[in-house]
Amino acid sequence: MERTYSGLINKYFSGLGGVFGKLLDSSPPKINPCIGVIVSIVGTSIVSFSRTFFQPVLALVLALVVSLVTRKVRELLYVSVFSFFFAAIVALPVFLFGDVKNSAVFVLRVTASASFFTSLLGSLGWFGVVRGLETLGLGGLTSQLGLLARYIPEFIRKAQASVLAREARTFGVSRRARWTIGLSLVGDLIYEGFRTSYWLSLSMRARYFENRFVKRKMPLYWSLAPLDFFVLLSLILLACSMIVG
Amino acid sequence: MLEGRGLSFSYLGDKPLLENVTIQVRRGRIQSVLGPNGSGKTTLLLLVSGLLRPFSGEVLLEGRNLFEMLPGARRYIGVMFQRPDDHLFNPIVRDELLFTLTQLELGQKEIEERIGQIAEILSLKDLLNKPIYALSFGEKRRVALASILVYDPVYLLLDEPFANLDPRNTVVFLRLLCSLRESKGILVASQDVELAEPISDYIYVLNDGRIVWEGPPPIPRSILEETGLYARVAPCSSTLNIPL
Repeated sequence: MERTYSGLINKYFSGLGGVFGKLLDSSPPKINPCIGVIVSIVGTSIVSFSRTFFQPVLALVLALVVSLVTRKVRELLYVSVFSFFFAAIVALPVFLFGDVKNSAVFVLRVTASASFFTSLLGSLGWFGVVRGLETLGLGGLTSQLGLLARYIPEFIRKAQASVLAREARTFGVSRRARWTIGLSLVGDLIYEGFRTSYWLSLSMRARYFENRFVKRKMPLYWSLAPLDFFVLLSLILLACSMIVG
Repeated sequence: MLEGRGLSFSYLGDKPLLENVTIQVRRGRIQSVLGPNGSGKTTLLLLVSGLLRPFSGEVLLEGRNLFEMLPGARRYIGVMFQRPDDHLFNPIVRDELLFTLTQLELGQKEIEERIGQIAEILSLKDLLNKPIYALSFGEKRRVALASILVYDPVYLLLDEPFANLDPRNTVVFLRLLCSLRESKGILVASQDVELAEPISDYIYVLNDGRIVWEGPPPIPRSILEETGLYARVAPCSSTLNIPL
């Protein structure tokens, strides 16, 4: 049977595009962006340095509830399972030397902190995180995150178009041909990057009226949903459990 | 009046892309720069808007040197690039409209009013919270135009505003330009004579970096044929016999 070109690079860019498509969902987040960002950072820090089972278990429960409400259980499972196996491999020597409790706590806190962080940021989405950071007054950082959100999908689209243009004229399946395709893409992407940055600088300059960057003032969202209270309550519980010991 | 006098420019120091070009953008009329691919239309727009500096010549805004008044003077000039993806650099449509309004440090109420107005005019209300990458080409073009109209500049410099637009969006653009004619000075760079000529009050024909003709429409047929702006479309059977 005749083999056809597999299009691995194209599949890779398609997968990448799919991930960013989910991250860049522009529907309003179910958690208050400001609360989501604060709780995710503080909560993950507490869980990451925990020494008991209580905090990681609580964080896992919270992550599961948030994922159920925001319907992102599958995404949570991917991260949880991956981080569990990753941590288990690292903890294996400790486990083999007989320190079962410490190795179990280590695996649990790695899994819990990754799951906790992912569930909150996943429910906020890229734009939710940007809004949250902006409300906290981190304007410079958020403008860079905004540029990334604008140009990463564009970059993926252009890269994919370049790959497709090459695949359309690739008739062989040799490894050498695939390498040639992959390598010739690099030059195109570097050129495209330069071209994009040139026009970006012109476009920004055309709409700057001052010699300074004026930060956008984001209004505080005071309306809190039940999920916000639940998230805040969990953070308070985590913090209390850390203080109590 | 926005005026470019004796403008010359070259990108890499070799053959000049523009040579001694003089152009005027007056308020209350639509001016067009028509020319074939590579004639220097985009470069001319970038020079007149103050985004590129000419090698020789000067750009005057209301009689004063534009470059001495930058960046403040940019609020009077709105430039729309040929490719909307080059023009739009914010992740969401609302952010794109907000960008200049934030620079102007307007109050929240006025900002919302302006965004509401421009979204109404260009039918962008349903798109305001959408990411730019998810828009169609026509939608991106409308957002690009909205992003400059929202800060109400006096002069609009539009690079190929009708290129790659479907007929419906083209009509929307034409109507909008005609409705803005009274209050603004508009300069359209295009190679589409059929669309640009009827709405223009004054036309510059650019070829190989030089103005080869200027005046009110219509453009003489000889100029159109000489510059390659006009070509008769014939059926395939006869087109195949035309020598290139």
